[in-house]
This record gives sequence, structure tokens and C-alpha cells, in this order.
Amino acid sequence: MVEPASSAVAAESSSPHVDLKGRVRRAAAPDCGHLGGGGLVGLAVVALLTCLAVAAPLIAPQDPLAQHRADQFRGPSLTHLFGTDEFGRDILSRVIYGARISVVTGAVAVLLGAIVGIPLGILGGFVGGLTDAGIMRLLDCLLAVPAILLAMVIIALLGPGSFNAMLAVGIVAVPTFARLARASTLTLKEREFVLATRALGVGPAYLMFRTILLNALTPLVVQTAATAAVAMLLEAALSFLGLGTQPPAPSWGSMLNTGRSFLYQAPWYGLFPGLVITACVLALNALADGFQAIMDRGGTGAAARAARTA
Amino acid sequence: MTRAWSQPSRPSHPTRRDFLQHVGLGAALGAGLLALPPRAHAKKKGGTLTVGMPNDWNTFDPHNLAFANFTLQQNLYDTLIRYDQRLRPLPGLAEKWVVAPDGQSVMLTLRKGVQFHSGKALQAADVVANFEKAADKDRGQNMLPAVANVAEVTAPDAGTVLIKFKKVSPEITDLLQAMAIIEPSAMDSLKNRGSGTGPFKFLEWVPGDHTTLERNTAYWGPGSPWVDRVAFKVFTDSDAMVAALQSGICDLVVSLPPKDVTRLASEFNLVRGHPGALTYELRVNGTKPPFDKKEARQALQYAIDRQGVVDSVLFGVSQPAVLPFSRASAAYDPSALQKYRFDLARAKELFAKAGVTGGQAECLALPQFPELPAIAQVLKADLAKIGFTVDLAVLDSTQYYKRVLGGDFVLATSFSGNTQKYPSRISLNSIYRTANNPVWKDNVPKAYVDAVAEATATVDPAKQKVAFAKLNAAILDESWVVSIAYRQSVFALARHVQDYAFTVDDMAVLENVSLEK
Amino acid sequence: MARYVLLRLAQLVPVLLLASVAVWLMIYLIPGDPAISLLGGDATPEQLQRARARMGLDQPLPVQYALWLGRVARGDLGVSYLNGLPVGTILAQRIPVTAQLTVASLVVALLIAGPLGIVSAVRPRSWIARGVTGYNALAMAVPTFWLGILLVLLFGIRLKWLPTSGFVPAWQEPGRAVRFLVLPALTLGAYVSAVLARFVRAALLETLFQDYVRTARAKGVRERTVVWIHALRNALIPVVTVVGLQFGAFMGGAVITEAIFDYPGLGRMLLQAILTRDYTVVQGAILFVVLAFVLINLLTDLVYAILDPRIRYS
Repeated sequence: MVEPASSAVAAESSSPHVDLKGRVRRAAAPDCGHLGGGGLVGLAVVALLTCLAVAAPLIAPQDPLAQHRADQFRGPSLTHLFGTDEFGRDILSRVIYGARISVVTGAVAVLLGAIVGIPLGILGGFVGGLTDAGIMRLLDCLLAVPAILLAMVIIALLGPGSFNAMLAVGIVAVPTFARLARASTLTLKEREFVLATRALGVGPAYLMFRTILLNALTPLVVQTAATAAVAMLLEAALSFLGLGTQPPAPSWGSMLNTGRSFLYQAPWYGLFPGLVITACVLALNALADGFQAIMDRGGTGAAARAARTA
Repeated sequence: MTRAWSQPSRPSHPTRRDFLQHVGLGAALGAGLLALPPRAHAKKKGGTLTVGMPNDWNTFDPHNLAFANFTLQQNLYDTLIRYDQRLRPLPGLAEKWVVAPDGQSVMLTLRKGVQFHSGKALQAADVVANFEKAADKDRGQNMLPAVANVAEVTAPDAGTVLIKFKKVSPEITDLLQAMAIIEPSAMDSLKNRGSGTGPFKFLEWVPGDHTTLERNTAYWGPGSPWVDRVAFKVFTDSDAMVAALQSGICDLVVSLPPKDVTRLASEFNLVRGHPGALTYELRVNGTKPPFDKKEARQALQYAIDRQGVVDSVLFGVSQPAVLPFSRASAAYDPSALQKYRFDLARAKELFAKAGVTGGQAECLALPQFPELPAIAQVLKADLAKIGFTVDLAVLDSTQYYKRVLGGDFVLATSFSGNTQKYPSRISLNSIYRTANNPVWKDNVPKAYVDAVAEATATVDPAKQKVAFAKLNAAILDESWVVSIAYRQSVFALARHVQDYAFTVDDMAVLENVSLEK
Repeated sequence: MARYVLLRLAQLVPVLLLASVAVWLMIYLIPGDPAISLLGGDATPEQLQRARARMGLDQPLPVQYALWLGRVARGDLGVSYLNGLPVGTILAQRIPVTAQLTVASLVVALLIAGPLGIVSAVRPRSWIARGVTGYNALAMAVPTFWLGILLVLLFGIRLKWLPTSGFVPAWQEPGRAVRFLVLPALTLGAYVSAVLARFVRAALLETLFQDYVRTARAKGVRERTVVWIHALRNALIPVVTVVGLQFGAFMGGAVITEAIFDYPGLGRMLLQAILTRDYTVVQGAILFVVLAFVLINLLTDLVYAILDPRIRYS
């Protein structure tokens, strides 16, 4: 499984004003109304998911860990909307609690990927030369190994568990952010406003982190939604292989794994967690597309204006 | 159980007869290695038998007694003697075995006309070489502790072997039954191929995929093998293995997962092995708090819902157990089950006596056997009801065994073998060792060590019974291993597979199998 | 062009070296002991110690690395700790299996993506196009392992049309192999088919309005020929890129599909090797995966250049 084709090239959508002190006035905040129908639905689902995760104890009808062994493998019914599992636990409650792991994984992956990846990418793109080459080779190394294998090796290092799975997924996300940031940096580096800021005698650190970063932000924001989706899938995959969340903690991936071994006894077991994962990923992808639309339409650059009138 | 060493003995323990009545279909099909039911029509010869295996082996050394290698051993190699289903010794490669009056040596008369797969004739010197290998620290593998009591093995002539022991031993037949004979010239290449005297010869091995054996036409056995070839197909996924059985790719599957038993019962011949060839258990580290107090460990005996485990984790394909010994074992004690019922209140009491309130412990489990993490989850849920928290750690095998063998754990779900043989052989399992024990190191509880020594030192049935009672009492009192349920092997056979048999260790015996299709 | 190829190949070396060092470092850090995998759960500490010594694991890590590197430079990838077979042989057994699955998946993906992409480009506003967009979104969101489970449940268990697991080499029994390949190929190919469909559509849309196409139409060439020949040629470039990328990714990344359908492929072997700490196998396999990925990328770029004469590498 490979990450979705991301918007790798930064659009030249905004050329902010630079004042005499070299400070940068960012373009007007993007208009959320331009998210579009799909994007809004995506946002709504993501919000719902976060609510589920946060308020799980209030929403879940039963204790996800409570075993009622006599009620093993009951089908969907009024008392158990998603049925029960091999220990008689309510699957619906477990799915709701499973949202916690997925949401946190998405967040951690994005944060880790961004905090480590973006500075690396900007550094490489800005400084160039050997530093850039070194960083790029390192990233190539990481990218050449398929995500699932890389995550597996990291887990072997750290030991299984949901937290370590989140770390692993975060590390896997670093090269994507780094590459994206680097691409943006390379483009922006030669732009007039940057050259102008440089001419003002501003230091490189300032240039990198205020000027370039702030302007490279929009494609990176698009990437966060896409990364969150991939992170969720990767964590589920790791739990599916038994390397992520440990029993009895509910994770959508590990529930699918168990559900798979009981396909004959309880076909619904493998159905619902997968449905939920798909819905979440769909929502995040739609959100990413929505952000992309904003990026194409928002901002004050000429290209953006052109996009709006098209 | 009494064993008169010079002739096959009759079972005297009442429970074993009862047990045999309950074995049912398994006994009928597996009845004795040599007694075949009368045939209505001539048995078909030929064909390839495809056996589905849940794991690959990593060596062809029969002295490596890993559960995974069991199926290979009976078919590539022969042992010196065999046991029938009632644990009575039968001739194998040794036609006669005579124990000296002082009980410190045994003289074997080897069967004549036996050939190794290469064509070389079996001689006494080869048996000596095998004992030497078993006693070698580098090459002995799991047979090393089993031959610890052997002082010397010599070959007075080409057809006789004399084994001298250091001390009197009641376990002589167990040793002879476990000792498989390898062709000495093949001993160096056992990683990739095997050569013995068994009904089938090694043909090829594709690691991780399959192994093929072909019929040994020069086999000494009562019926030379009927099928031309046996192909062992490896499945890392038991569901895929079952699917292969259903689609006809496999004719026979060893170790059918319990969850599929009910589902497949109508379509396939399900042969049940001996309940208790392995026993599921909870290993407790008696040197780490809170389980350094005996009462805390005893509390666990009442905190495990054994019947619940049998019903929901093992899907009814098993029986609860309080002691590791199987029903066929001489040390089996049915009263233990009555004494240690599932009683959380009593467990809480015992915890309180040990000064444990709201404690916490980590429990290790191995995912390769999905029952183990499942049992751990059941324990966790039940202990939570009395305020004790169990944290599960599902580790892959290298980490799991490293910690379990190193004593670096508090609780661990696992299983033990050698539960059908002479009771003191339980100490071959790492957790039951009387010295160099992973948990106790060399401070193993005295009552247990003494009981094992007592059981090993006598051949008098009455004294043995006393020793076994002491052994059971010691195990239950110290409770550093809490037995939970027997592991029941279920072999699934397609209807056209006839005359399948298995040993007391649940090893598949394929020499009489024919494919009637 | 030749210089470009040489330059790219030269860049391969530091990447491989970095990968090998990384793998060795990880092995130093990953807890666990291959001796245990070898001897089983009742081994005494002494036996384990001796086994480790026999495997050469008691030597300092840099020494082990140097020895290994020396052997690799001579083309010897070492021997598996577990079963004693040469790593090269093991790889040679597993690679064709994964390759078969990969090829089948990509073929399936193309078979799906081709028509979908074309139809949605030719009739952009129709309900078909909307359906295709919906399919794309769905196929990119469904987790591979869930799709596998669903397919097994539907076609294997309920309908009993197709086998649920197992591998048959296509070069030995092509007819039977196809039956066993359908479900796994669908599982693995679904995601790619969505990506490809998008690219095909985008490329076709772009091309359909290009000048030269309009000229061709004005000249009276049949519309169908216009669409098929000129536009598809153009769509080939991103398709080739994606196919190349995916091929490299699948070689190691099809672990989950291989697990679900019990394919004795590279990904599953690597998972097993990691779990049993079969170090030499892990190293050999990761090296191969990295090598394959980079080489396939290079190949893709070259094919890219052939397809589009406007591209020149310096």
C-alpha cells in the first residue's frame, strides 16, 4: 500500500507583501466556504470522529472490555447493534473506543511527520549542496522501503503497542513532509519576495522559518489530511498483523484481524470495523481535496485569481 | 502405573480404563499401532498423501522435540520401542529389552534386517552413536536432559546394545520410546535433510513451503507404507490450512483449530488425540511481588475460570485441568478439579491473606497459539472484578521465550508437555525443572524437588503412588504453575483417508494410511 | 543519456550502503535472540549461549558488519540462521511469487482503470463519470486487508466460486493459477486502479482539447481514432510512472495481501524473518527491496524518456 498521490508541487498561489522591516504580511485567510460539498462532508465526519473519540465513555452503550462469555458471537440485535465478539463483548462499544486510537494515531503521525519532516525539507532545499544531498539520500532510503515494512522494522525495535505504532507511523510520514517542504522551498527560494527579503539583510533562520515556511503552508496543510488518512490505515494494518494495539484494547485493525479468523462463526465481526475505517479515510481524503480546492481558489496571486474565474 | 520391565505390563490404574472408554472414535481409529481392523476389500496402494501442517520445521533432527517437528519424526525415523495407546511398550527397532535385576542397565536386542534409507544395515554401533549424540552438549538438543541418567552405552555385538544407568530409573521405557535413531553419516546435515530407518524417505524440502517424503520400500514394518509419497504442506495461517482441506488440496490436517471442529464435523473424519498431550497453564514467577507470597499464587488457582476457558476459548474441544498430568498419567488426580473451583471470592480472600489489595502484574502471551492471548484476556477480565489489574504483553516468540526462559516475567500463559509419560518427566519442561529453573534458579521449592527425586528413585508401585501424591501436593501448594486445560489435538481427515494412527504424544503415524479414492 | 544512467546507478551505492548500515544498527537494537527460534522453548541458557557462538553472534557488532559487507561484495548474502539455506536461494524462491502477484494486480488495475478512465473522460458530465469518481474515492479509502476479507467472505465462503487462499505458480499451471490469483489481485489492485483511473482521465481530458487533436479532427479523421491513438499515447506516461512506482512498492509491500491469501511471497518471508530474528534474511531481503525499488524507478524514468521524445536527460 503506497501513499496516495499527494499534491507534491506547491502552487504559486500567493505573493504576500513584504514591509520595510522584512516582516511578511500573509495573504488573507482562505475562505472555508470554498471547501466544497465533499470537503464539508469530510470535515463533518472528521469532527464526528473526534467527538466519538473524546466522548467515548459517554456515547458507548457498554464497557468495551466487559466479557459476557455466554453471549459469544451473537449477531447484530437491538442490544448489540454490531453484535458481540468471541468474549461476548459489545462490538459497537469497541468500535467507538477504537476511534480514540485512530484519531490519536492520525494526530501523532501528522505532528511527528511535520515537526521532523518540514524543518528537514526546508533546510535541505534552502541550504542545498552536500547537506541537501545527504538529507535526500537519507529520505530516499526511507522511501525505498515500503511503508508497511518500515513500520514493521520500527515496531520490532520499539516493541509492539499502540504508542509505538503511532511513533512508527509518524516516522514513516516524515519523508513525505520533508519532500513536500523541500519542493516548496526550492520553488519559493527564487521568488521575488524572498530575494527581496534577503536583500534586506535578514538572516537565514528567519528566512527559512518565517518567510518560506509560512508561504509553503498551504500545500502542507493539504498533506496533513492525506497523511492522517494513511496513518490511520497503517496503524490498522500494523494492528492487523498483531504488531500494533495489544489486546484487549479495541483497535479497528486488531478487530479486523480477529474478525478474520472467525469469518465463519461471526461474519459481521469483520464487517463493521472495516466499514468505519473506510468511512474515516474517505472523509479525510475528501477533506484533503477540499483543502486543495481552497488552495487553488484562495490567496491573492494571479494564478489563484485565474483559478477562481475559471 | 506399574511397569514390569521385562514384559509388556497391564494397566492397573483404574482411571485409565475409564479414560479409554471415553476416547471413542479416536481409539477405534488409532487403536494400537499394529492391530488393524479387518478389511472389507483390498487396501489400495499408491497415491500422494498431502498433509497440512500449521508450521514448518527448521531441522530434521528427531532429537529436537519441538512440537512442530513431531509429525516428521514418526515417519522419517523409528524409535527403539513404541507405546501403544495404553502406554504399553511394543517392539520398535529393539525387539527385546531386558532390564537387569538391579535395575541399573538394560540390554537391547536389535531387530534384524533393518536398513537405513541409504541402504546401510542398522547395527548396534549406530545406536551407540545416537546416544553419544544425545549426550553431546552441542548436538543433543532436547534429548540431552533425557539421557542425563545414562552412564554408558556399549555394543557387545552387532545386534545387541547395553545401556548402563547412573542410578536406578523408573523411566527406562520412556527413554527408549523417545530415542529416535538417526543414520550416523547423516548427523551432520540434519539441518536440511534427514536419514533414518522410518517408513518414508526424505525426498526434498522447500523451506516454508513443503517437504516431500517417498515410500521406503525396504521398510521393516508390518505393512510397508501404502502411499507412494507424503507431501507436508506448510501453512503459516491455520485458516488457509483449513481452506486447503476443504478445497481438497490437503487430505489430512494435523491440529485443527478448535473453532472449526463443529463446522467440519459432518464433512470430515475428525479424530481426537489424547487430551493432555500438552496442558495449557499460567506460569507464575514466585520470586517477584506480589506473587512471592504463596497465598497470592494459590489465589490464582481460584481466579481462573477453567470451564469458561474450555467453553469460549477452546470451543468445548478440551477439558479443564488443575494439575498438568493427563488422564492417562499415573499421577492423575480427579479430586483436584473438585477442590479448585472457579471462586473469585476465595481468590480475593487469599489475596488479602497475602497482603495484596488492588495489585498489578504483567502477563506475557505468545500470538502463534491464539489460545494463549485469549486465556490471558479471560484472566484479565476476571481478575479485574476483584480489583487486580493484569496488563497483557503479546510478544513474538524470540522475545517471549527470552523472557520466559530468563525468568524475566511475572505471569505468562504457556503450555507444558511430557504430561502423559512417567510423572517425573514433567521436569523436562523449563518451568518444572528442579535445577536451573527460570523462575527459581536453583532454589526450587524443596517439597517439589524431593517429590520428584522420590518418584524417580523407586520402581515399587506403592512407593510411586505415595511419591506422586506428594508431587501433586507440592505443585498445588506452591502453585508457581497453574494448569488450566488440556490441549486436545484434533486431526481432520478427508473421508478417503484410511487407517490413520497417532502415538501417545499425538504424533501422526502414516505408515498404514491408504488413499481410498 | 548514458551518462545520466551511470550517474543514477552511482547514486545507488550510497543509498544501499546507508540501508545496510541502518539494518545492522536496528539489529543491534532489536531485542530478541535467533538462537531461541532455533532451539525452542525449553532450551537451557547454556545451549542458547553455545548456539549463539556457533552463529557468530558473540562477536562485536562492527566486526560482524565488516564480515557481512565483505561477503556481500563478493555476492554472498549469507545463510539463514533458522534453516541454513543460502539467503540468495530463499530470495530466489520468494521473488517470483511476489512478482506474479504484483503483475497480476497491475494487470487487473489497468483492466479496471483503462475503461473507467476513458469513459469518464469522454463523457465528463454523465452519471457514469460521477460513478467513476465515486469508485475512485472508495477504492482509495478501503483498507487492503478489509477488502481482502470482504472478497473472501463473498466469493470464497458465501458463493464458493473462488478458492480463498493458496498459491499456484503461473509458469507451471497457468489455468489453475488464474483462479487462485483473482481475489488477491483484486485486493491489491483496487487501490492502484483508482489512482490510475484518475491519471488516465486527467491525461485524456488534457489531450482531447489539444491543438493537434483539433487539427486531426478538422482533417476528418474518425473521432475514435483520435481518442484512441493520440490521447492514449499521452496518457501512457503517468500510467507508466505509477505502474513502475507500484511495482517497486508491491515487491515488499504486499505483506498483508500475502498474509490473507497465504502467498509464500517476499513480504511474508520478511515478516517471518523479523519475528524470528533471522538477521541475515532480513538484511538480504531489505537490500533487495531497496535495490528493486531504485532500479525500477530508474527503468521507469528511462521508459518515460522513450515515450515522450521531448524529455531529455543530461
